[in-house]
Amino acid sequence: MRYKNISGEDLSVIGVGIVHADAEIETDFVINNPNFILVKESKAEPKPKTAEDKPIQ
Amino acid sequence: MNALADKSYLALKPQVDASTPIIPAIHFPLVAENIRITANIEADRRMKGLSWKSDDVVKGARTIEGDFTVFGDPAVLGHILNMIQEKGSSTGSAGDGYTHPYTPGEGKHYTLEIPRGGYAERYFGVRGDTLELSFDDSKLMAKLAIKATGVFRSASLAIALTGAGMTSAKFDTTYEVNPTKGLCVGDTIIIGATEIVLTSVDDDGITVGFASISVTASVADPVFLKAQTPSFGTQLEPFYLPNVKVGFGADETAATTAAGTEATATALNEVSIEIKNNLLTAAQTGKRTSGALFNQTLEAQIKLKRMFDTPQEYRDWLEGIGKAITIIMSGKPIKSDLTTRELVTLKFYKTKKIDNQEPLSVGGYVICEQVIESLYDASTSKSLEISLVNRSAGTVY
Repeated sequence: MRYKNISGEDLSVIGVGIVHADAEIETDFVINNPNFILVKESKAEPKPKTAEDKPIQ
Repeated sequence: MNALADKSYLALKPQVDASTPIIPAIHFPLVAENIRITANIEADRRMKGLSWKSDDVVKGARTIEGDFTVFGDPAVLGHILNMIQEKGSSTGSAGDGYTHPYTPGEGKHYTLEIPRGGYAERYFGVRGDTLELSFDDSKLMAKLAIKATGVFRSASLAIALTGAGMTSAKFDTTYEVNPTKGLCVGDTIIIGATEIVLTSVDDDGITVGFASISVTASVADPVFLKAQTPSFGTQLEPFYLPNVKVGFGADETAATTAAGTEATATALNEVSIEIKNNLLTAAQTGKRTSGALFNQTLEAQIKLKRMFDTPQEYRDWLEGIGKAITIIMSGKPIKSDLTTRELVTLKFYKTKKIDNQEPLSVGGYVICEQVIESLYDASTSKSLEISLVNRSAGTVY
């Protein structure tokens, strides 16, 4: 999940670390805090590499 | 599940008015907390043809009061003083630091949140009643006794939630006439194991709304407020006793001048200050807890210990000779050229001693133990002035 610090201040969150003002962070940790807004719900799963993705020799 | 107190924290934010709770988004580490809900529930002592004391209990007036303790650092002191005194206009800048003046008067109403385990307890309409500033192992400790007009601790469902497509819930009113009071849009509540983010808190005091969700719960199932993930700003050091200077003088100007340098300041071995608003808890129609909190007589005392020098202190006490006292606590430099510092200045315009004891014990120095009453100074029409210099702009108060 991706959160943005909207408080206008540098804040440290236990389990996440220091998040600077207006910075966005990627975390698996749910932040239930009005200083942060959820920007993106969850990480997009990387597409698994398949034989078809391999460049043609 | 057991809950460790260390996982708690203090969250606070000034409310826009006395009666509208707000999500407290400013977090501070907490040293101790003891806030009680006195429900005044007692045995029903009416005569009902029984020889046993009672067959039920009855409710009385409900009050919410208690205290919490934090390290007295420049950031948290701004809010603590804001809860107990009236803040004037702030001046300054981020580079120089901001100066916040406080005078005796109506403090702001705050919303506080202190979690127990994973559940938040949200007190709203909180005002400071008594502020005790003292030094413990050299560190400034601020213990604020508060009173609150209400609390959201938990509720229970009045109507069952039946699965898919639920968009609202109604809470039971057995305990509280307005059980949703204290909740805000954006809060996460827990019903059963389902976490629900509120999108509305209705004016009826019993209904909350949320985006369509699948949740199944029965009547009387508990509803809790989920604890926040605390986010702490830069952690500041508390003020320390060695950086405190205390000046005594015939008037405020002389006392402040005396507190300006180590040579003219008076060395004290211990000092503590108590500032009281003597809040009145006023009952109000439509509210089971107190509807409003009003300042009554304002007062302050200083307790100190100093080395015995001459019988002068004893004579001043009995003859009621008054002095102005200025206490200056300085902290870390703010401006890059080190010309401004974190600062708390307490100016007591007129004080007189109400007690002065000089006990002797074998092998010990003689120490004056004094209790000093802060008085109203008619010549300046002032009693107490506090000024705080910190890194927080006045907009947060």
